[in-house]
Amino acid sequence: MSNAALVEVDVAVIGGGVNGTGVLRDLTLRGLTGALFERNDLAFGASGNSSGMIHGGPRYLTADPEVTRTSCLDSGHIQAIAPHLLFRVPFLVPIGGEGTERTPLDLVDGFFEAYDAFQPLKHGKPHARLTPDELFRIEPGLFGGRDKGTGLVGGISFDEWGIDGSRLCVANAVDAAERGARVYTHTNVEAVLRDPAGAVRGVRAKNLLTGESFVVAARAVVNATGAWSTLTALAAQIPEKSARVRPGKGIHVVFDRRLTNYGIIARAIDGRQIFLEPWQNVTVLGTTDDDFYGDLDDVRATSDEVRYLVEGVATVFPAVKAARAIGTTAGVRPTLYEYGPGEDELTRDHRVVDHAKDGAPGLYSMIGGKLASYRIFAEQMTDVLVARLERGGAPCRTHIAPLPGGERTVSRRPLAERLGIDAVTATRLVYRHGARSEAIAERVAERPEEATVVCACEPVIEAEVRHVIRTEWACTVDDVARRTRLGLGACGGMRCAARCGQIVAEERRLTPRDGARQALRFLTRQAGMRAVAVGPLQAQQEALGLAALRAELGPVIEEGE
Amino acid sequence: MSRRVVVIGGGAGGTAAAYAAREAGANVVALLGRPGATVLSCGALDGPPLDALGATRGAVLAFIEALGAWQLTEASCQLATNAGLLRASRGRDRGLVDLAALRNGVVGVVDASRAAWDAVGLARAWSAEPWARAHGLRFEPVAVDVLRHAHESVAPDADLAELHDDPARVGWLLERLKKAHALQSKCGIVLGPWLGTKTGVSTRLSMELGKPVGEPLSPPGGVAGLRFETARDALLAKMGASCVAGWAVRLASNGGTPAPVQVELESGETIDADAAVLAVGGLVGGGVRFEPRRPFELSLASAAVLALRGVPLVTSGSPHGAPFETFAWSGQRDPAGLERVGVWTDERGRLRAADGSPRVALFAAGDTVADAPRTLLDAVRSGVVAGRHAALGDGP
Repeated sequence: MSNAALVEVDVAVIGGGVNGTGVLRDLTLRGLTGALFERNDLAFGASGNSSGMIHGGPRYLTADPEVTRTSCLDSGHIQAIAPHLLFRVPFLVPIGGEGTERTPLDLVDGFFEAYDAFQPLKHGKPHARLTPDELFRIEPGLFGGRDKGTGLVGGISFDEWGIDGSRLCVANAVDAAERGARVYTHTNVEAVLRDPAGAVRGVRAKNLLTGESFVVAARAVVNATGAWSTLTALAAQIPEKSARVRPGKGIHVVFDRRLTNYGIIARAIDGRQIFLEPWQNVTVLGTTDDDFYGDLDDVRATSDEVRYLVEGVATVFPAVKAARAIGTTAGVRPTLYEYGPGEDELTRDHRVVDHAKDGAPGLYSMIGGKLASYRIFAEQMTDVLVARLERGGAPCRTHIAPLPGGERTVSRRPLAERLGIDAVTATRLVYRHGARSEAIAERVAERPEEATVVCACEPVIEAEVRHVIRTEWACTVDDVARRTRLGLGACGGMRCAARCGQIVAEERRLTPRDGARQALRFLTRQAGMRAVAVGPLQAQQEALGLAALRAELGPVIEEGE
Repeated sequence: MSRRVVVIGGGAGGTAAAYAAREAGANVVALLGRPGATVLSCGALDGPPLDALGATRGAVLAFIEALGAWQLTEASCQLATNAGLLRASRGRDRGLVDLAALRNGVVGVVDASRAAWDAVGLARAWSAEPWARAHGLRFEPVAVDVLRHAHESVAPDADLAELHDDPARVGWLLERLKKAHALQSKCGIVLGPWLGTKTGVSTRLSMELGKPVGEPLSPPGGVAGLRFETARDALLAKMGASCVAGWAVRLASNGGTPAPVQVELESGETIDADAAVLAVGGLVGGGVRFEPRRPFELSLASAAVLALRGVPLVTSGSPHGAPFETFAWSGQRDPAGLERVGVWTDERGRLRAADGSPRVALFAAGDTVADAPRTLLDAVRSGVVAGRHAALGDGP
């Protein structure tokens, strides 16, 4: 195979999570050129399967106050550059009684008093100390509404911000691409190419959808592959241990609607902190943290993990047992490697590793980090790149330059009227795309039929599906779902996946049969993710879904496609 | 004296069993308690090829003929689905339009302003299907005002279908379609899934207009299921079966005479019979329930042994119940466990005891049967087998 480079850039970034897209954006803002390679899809790993919060991490306050401070500060910056992507999630911490925080109320109160000092950094409200009566008034579902015999002594409230991690990654990548960066998704880096002296000179990559291999020349390579870092080290021919992470699997259970208006903090049977959180249209229950040794491209929740979370939170919020779970998500955190401590004690800090020490000058690894501090991490990484390449001297602007969609606010009602869609559909559209909803509105102005709602649960209109395929690198039904939440709502994609497959096939010039196959693959995977979460009553629904699918696709499913 | 057979369940399997038992000379009592998979079905008749039906072929065809709502042809049908696909099936509900015979032409999709009817999108999607391209077929939306009143644009499919049970309304619709110029050059016409709760509207329109006219597949629980129920009730009445609207809660068989089988109803009443056919549906129809610790059980009390993949199920070893993912979605070509689980039977449809030996007077049909493919034709096949053996007893 020829190693002649098609393209030359300053920096090749491997990994399309929030760190990779973040550093790609930062380096283009400073005048460097870059290309990004992602083996699966943007936000496929930890970034798209996180708890969906850019929280300040009060959890880390005692052990790692610096993590809390940077998280809060950056949370404030993210609000400034992408206001459309954030939503407030107030949390309640009930205290006293089984399943609640075990620290005495006064201490917790004092602790959050300390956290209040960080709240202004992220425009959060100070905490409030609440009596049991106040707690029940705010959230009548606590302890099934029963005050007596619960041992509840009170609680506190505190403030966090929710975000859609996939949208955050996509926004960073779009911005970088608009400044000339190249983004290759579904593209695996097979080798980091190095000159005889060991210095990096580019990467050889293979598009996993087309099978085509190509070379991109680069003067520096950033490994931002999170939990995949060890595999990337292999491709770069440096020792595995030089880019070591300690992969920590975390799962979430997703329920079909907002069960509460407040996040609720509880303690699982082993004393770990878990939470129930209203998030966009759904409720998210999380999370676990366990060392992971499986296949990173196919991480799935198990029913053990689901039961651990459900039983845990049910002690404080019993209605969760009767709620309808519509799926699970699973991701693997790339925590800094340490042998010995329990998973929860590991630091959420991050580190730039310079592989010059491993004989590979120009190769860097971004290890660790969390969603809330991605921007500062990207800034630190880019500082190192600028110093090495002696180019791109412009100061960092990622904390002030708006992300795509965050340039200005768009009023939802006029947009709804213009598109002839209902207010809820318009609201969701604006949430995901901010000012870029205008681009989708322009599509609809030219082709009014594209205002048709494809996914009724979320909801998602056809023009948005086409928009994310054309401008956000969505190549499959899965990719569309990641960007729009199509098919991730109450009906599990039963009503929309087939139609979405057709649109993907049309846009990407595949055969309609390929589109149907993609839809089926998506549905099968979703059902697999859902199966671990269903209870007895949901089993029949699951069977019904299968029957409906077979009715729709007929012999296709029998042929096992 | 003729034997008395009680059939529990009024879906495809149960109705076929009732029909076959009556044909074999039995007195039939049919319990039609609850809607199941047949009523929820979309109108496509899937299943094994006719040649694979073997000795049951004649009986299966006779039942479908007698029912009248379905059509089974030697060649396969080509049906349009609500998600914009075209797909083959062995047969169809007669209200559905069969595109199989059409070549090189344009099919009109009637664009009635109904909330859940996207004629433009569907026409576009069907036209893009490989089968349509290979046969030179295109689909075009044609605006025809086929609704008489404003509320019809938001009425549920079933309500609009009921209005089309009136022959005068169908006559009016026919005039509308005849007058639509754009439809005259079309080789077929697709209307929405609302052409009557009785069979015959599509047939009449096709005859009068001289081209295939009908519906796409119904969404689950749509009008194709309603038409099955109408046809079933008519068939059972014609056969002289006594129909009971209640539902069974217990099925017991002591093997003794004069009544080897007792069926206890919700009302507390008991029906005695010489044999019973369990056609209560699988997990979809509600005949089988997911009960994690068992991990499945029949929705009525009985001594039936449940099996999966040819092996009887045992109680879960987990105090929290069997994890559902063990049964849901095999991920392979095999159907998932939740689609296969059911009552353990022998080749005559007789229930097996825990040791595998057949029970004398108890039979199962349709989705209730373990490992049977969950299709309408398979349900009919097992129904005619079980019904016939139930009627004949241990005789010839």
